[in-house]
Amino acid sequence: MQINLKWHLTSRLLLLIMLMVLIIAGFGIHFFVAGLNSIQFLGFQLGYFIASQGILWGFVILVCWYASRQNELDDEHDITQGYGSQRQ
Amino acid sequence: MRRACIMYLTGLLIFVVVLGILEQIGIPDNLISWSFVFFAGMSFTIVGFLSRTMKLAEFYVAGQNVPAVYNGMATAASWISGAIFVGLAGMFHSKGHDGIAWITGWTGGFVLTITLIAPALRKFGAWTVSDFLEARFGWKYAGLPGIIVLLTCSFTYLIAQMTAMGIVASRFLGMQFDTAVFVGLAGILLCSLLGGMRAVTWTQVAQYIVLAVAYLLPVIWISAKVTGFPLPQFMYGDVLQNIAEIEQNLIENSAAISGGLAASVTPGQSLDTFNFLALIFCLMCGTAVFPQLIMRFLTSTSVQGTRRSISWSMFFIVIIFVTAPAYSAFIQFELYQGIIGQSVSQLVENATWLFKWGSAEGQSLVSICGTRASNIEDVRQACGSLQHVISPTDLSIDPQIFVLAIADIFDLPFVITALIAVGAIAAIMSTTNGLVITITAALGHNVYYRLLDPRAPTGRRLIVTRFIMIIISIIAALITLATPGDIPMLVAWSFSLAGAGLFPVLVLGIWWKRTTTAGALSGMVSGFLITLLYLVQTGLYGMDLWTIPTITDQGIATMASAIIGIPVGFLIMIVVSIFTSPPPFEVLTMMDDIHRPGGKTITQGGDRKIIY
Repeated sequence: MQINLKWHLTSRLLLLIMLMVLIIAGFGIHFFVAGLNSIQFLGFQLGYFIASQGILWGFVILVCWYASRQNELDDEHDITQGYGSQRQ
Repeated sequence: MRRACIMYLTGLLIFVVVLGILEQIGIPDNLISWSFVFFAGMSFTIVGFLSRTMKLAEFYVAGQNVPAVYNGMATAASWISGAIFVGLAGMFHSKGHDGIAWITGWTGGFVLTITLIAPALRKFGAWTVSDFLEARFGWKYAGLPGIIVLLTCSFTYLIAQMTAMGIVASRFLGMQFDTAVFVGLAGILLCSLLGGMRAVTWTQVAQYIVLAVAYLLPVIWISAKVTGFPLPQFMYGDVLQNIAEIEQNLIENSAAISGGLAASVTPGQSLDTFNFLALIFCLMCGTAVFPQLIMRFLTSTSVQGTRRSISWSMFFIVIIFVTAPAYSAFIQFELYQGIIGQSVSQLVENATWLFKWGSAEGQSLVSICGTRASNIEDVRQACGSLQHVISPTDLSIDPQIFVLAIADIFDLPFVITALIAVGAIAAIMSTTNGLVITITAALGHNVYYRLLDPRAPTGRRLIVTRFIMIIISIIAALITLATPGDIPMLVAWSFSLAGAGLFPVLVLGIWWKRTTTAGALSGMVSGFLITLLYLVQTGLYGMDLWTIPTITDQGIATMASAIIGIPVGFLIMIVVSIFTSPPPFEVLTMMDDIHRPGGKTITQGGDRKIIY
């Protein structure tokens, strides 16, 4: 079993991006909500819209992007060769 | 499978329309709700019966061949509990901006689980979390603390669900609370006893369809009615603005507003910044390792399938979560338009639902002028006269009934009320099913098979497991009957306990090779115990909350108590690991392999097939 360095580093990079975005979107953004509330967006106060909907849709996109990107990466580097569960 | 789902969805919609027509012809309400419950109950039972199985891998992890889309739907159904279905909209009303902490935590946890936890466990081939702990820490009993954490957090959640089942069924079907709990229990066993996880998976798919239609259809209708455009998630912004104007007018006319919804878009209503972020953190960590979710992701076809399942489940969950605040906005708007500023005698004509819900049994749900709105005479006396004009402070409605009462509030046909009730029951059943199968797997697979009777043949394991399933359900029902719990409190407890007990050990166990058995066990036990102590002491025995000078004067909220347990767990795990000798070579090899999604799974439900 040889370790594929490019695969390894790219996977870790993706993971790091995910965690950074999670910290910014899940926690950091709440410090700006009150300030952003003065802006109107689609009839909403922007800060409230981001906190109640934007973050959630952002998470959906983030997770979908990660799943497809990481799966592609695994395929490219043949990490998934012969994958599949053992059946009894 | 796709055709079956589309047919089920169409069948459900046709059923709603037919019942709606029958209602106009004039069949009694009671018949409508019963035939609805019968339709839903029958369909779940049939799906459960068709998925019966005699194979262990199918019983515990659905044969690990659930396609990603359906796994996503099943996960969403198991995630959207009765409490979320019934209470989330009301929470946005009563807690305002703080409600956002809950939905952010509940979804952010999936980001953690897709990166850090689920794929590695799927590659390991675990059937339960304890399978992994046992192999990783190379000791027969290393899985036990995991089982204890799993049992505490799942049982608290299970009791919350059973209580919700009793409340919803007794309110809509006129059953006794006790009977309702036992009928719900029978329904759960009917679905899952024969087919285990395989049956639970496919009934959860059906249940998601029911609960999503039940949650979205009414609010889409109302959005079309109020704003003229059927997209509630984006249309309620205007409604919020109207509410803000109304509240501004009320304040200028010196009417006191209790709370007020316009204020709810500004942060910091009841939780300070520290507690708000701490609650998000606890819920995220709890979600990432919540045993019931982990079990669902272990049923996917491959590691890549696990990742796809998680993305689909996020999508299905977020649809529901972003709709909840819309409910609360539309209802508040209707209250300002239709109730506030009317005289008592007008209420009697225009808003009979107030009295219908006010006279419901149990705790007071609607009160006017400080008295329970059970009949007109009481209200007239409390308000002084029939000409008394209702001010915002006169009216108090329990936010828990927002979703259930929406058809009455907006004068929609009764069939919508029945649809919502069935949706709530589906939400409760799907979560309960998921919890029961999770507990069963831990006891039947890890305790009975792996610890007590490792040579048990398949047939005996299946019989014992089913027996355990029945016992668990009965125990849960009995506890529920003895002490029906405060639902939001139990939910918060169970996330804090799951997060504190399992998050550090799974993250370090998967990502840090140096984690040793002693480190893992001591960290797990101490993190879990300190959280449990804080919960019990502050929640039940009235201990003062711990304050941190300059960070939080409010004190660490009981529901965010894992903010203490998780760092303690990590710290002790790292320190003890450093001072004990590193794990053996075979564990280190396994750790390399666990992050490579290809090849065969390392074990099959903890039984090693590949020897290093």
